[in-house]
Amino acid sequence: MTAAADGTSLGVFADIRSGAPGSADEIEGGDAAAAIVVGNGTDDQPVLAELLHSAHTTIEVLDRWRTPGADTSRSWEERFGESVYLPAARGLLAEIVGSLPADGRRLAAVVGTHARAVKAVARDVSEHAKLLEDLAVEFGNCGAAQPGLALADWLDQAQAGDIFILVVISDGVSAMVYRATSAVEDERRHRSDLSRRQHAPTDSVDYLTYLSWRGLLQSAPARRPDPEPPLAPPSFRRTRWKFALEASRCTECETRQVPPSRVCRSCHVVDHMAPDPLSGERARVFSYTIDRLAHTPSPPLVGAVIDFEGGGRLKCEITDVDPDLVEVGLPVEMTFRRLTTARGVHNYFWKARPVRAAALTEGVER
Amino acid sequence: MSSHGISDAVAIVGMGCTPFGEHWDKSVDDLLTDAYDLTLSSAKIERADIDAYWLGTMAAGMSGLVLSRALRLNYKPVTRVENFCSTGSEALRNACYAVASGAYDVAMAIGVEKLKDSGFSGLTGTSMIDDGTKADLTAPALFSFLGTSYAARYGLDADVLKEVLTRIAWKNHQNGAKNPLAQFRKPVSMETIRSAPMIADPLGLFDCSGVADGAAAAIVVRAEDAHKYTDHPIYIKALSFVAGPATGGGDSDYPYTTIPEVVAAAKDAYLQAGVTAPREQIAMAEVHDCFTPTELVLMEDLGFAERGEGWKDVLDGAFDLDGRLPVNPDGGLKAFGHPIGASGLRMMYECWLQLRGDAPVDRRVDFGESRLALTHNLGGNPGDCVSFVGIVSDQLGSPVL
Repeated sequence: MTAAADGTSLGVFADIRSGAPGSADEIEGGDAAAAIVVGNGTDDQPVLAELLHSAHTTIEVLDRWRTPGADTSRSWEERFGESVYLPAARGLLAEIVGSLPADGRRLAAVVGTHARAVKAVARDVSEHAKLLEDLAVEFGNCGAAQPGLALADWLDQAQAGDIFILVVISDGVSAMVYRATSAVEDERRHRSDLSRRQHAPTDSVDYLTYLSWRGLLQSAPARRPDPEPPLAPPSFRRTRWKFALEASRCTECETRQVPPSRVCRSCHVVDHMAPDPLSGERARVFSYTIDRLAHTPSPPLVGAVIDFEGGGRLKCEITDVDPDLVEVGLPVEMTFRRLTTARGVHNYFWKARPVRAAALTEGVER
Repeated sequence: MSSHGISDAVAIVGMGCTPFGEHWDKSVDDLLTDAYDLTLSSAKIERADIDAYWLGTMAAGMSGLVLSRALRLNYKPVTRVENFCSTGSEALRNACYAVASGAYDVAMAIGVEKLKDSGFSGLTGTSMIDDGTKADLTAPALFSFLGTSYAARYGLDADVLKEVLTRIAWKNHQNGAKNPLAQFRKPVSMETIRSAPMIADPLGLFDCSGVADGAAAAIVVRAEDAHKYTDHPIYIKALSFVAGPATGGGDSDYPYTTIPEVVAAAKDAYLQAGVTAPREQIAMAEVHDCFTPTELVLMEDLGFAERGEGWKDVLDGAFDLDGRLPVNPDGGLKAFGHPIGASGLRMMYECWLQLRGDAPVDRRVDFGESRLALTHNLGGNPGDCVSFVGIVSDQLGSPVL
């Protein structure tokens, strides 16, 4: 977040918070990702916030740990961690507060995986700036994604000249001070804010499904032969289809071929084909079923025949959906997902999902 | 540009069929031996008379050795054929052509499948492993689309569709109950069918055919030789087979309310047999009721019902044993069971029994004015399939009396 060299960098913050069944980590955790571009800005992509000051300290403390390969992390008793983090944070704050500009609204966020220390430090910070709403209340504690989410949340509401203090607590403390530029309000018109990016279907995932998806529960397999892993050579030969969902279009008669084919299904010419990507194209459910015997990480498998807006059809799974809500005509979009895992190979391909509400009102491209 | 056909060129003079079902006590060799024995004893024929064999099996083994090994055949030509669920009919079709060509005097077509040993209830291992991009939908799911799309296109609400599908399953179970060779020999009530657990909506357990072990066989000779082997031969009027372009899964014009491969195979078969009005001229039909919506759509594709009207005919009992055109009087795949490689020959076996008057009295078809019986197979799934249509009669010459 402070690593702007001469060039432009992309910083991605992402986390999947796992916890042992019944633990606080499991109950309070959230999955999220955020990304920011760091650089000197261009006409197309102006600087939205400048970093005024930052201070960091690393602490070697057995507060939270996980051995490689373990499903979940473990943590020490909370009061000890608080006694380590609070003085360290206070030290950095003292350093930063002295350099804060006199003008501008002051906003702040304190994030970290140690809830008790975060709360205590937030109390201190609130004496110097107005705390933004705690995102963990709505999204859960999103671990490594939190600093990115906090920045995005601030940028969603920032006015030109705002000062933003961000404190991150995790195996040490970081404190950063940003100032919003005059570009921030204009830029906001072109994107959706954080609240509208929430992934709604998570609400409907029941606990057994959650445990099974996290690999914490081995449920009974479908009473069918185990799925076979995809073969490497055909997967490689059909990379553009398998990974990019690229169909082909006949250059003689314009008929779309799904999957791509050398021979046109309509005019039968051979090798007159141009690539025709489907991944960003919407489709509608033509027919569907709920397949209660098929292998899927998300049983029962909702199987459908979908017709693309620009022609062509695909038989595929519909995911992120309540089976009772599927109907003929349902608008869907494509998403790259795991079909099965067999003999240690994850088989990824494309599934359809109902078009998301946010994406319905504005282009997903932005 | 159609097939010329071999109408009246060859005859079936012997047939045999094992019971279909869960034969835990029988191997592939046992089933082949049983069908072979039953078939030989149905005609005045001996082992040495058979010049060539066509073996149909989807998964019981590779090559003609599956048969020659089981029967200890001494240096005879055995051709193994496979064409999904049309496999049994393909064995017969090719045996018929071999005899019609003059290459052999007597040929046997024999089909077998041993499905229950796998430990799974549905069909297994029918698709090649590839790049992992094909949706791994089960057969009931792939055929359920026919029901959903049929209902959507012709304005049937979910309850009416369920009634139609239930009526088909009920009818075939009624027929199967009268068949000592069938896998399921008990009538099933409409309520039981209606309330069965869902497999692939709107298909419940009783909308799916039985997976079974079994074998069946036929002996084929030139028509003019037929009476040397039996007093009651049946004659081949038509044999039609097509493979589709397999584009239904990628072509948004495909409506899932018809199976074009069936329409094409039926058209060719009717031409070969001189059938101009199938609804009136076909006296009975054994069709590929792998799932109940399949039978519904087949009634229209085979010309037994008007487009969009088949569901009404089903509800009216038009295809019941005592209906206008009895369909699957032996119980069909639904109740007789579906050992893939044997099914096409099992269908022909029912035509053989019915045309010769050998079917049990309580399920004997009233042939009326016509002496034509039809068999039909579908292999693969809607949009991606092969189809067979065969027509036979116990009469030479004009099909309609």
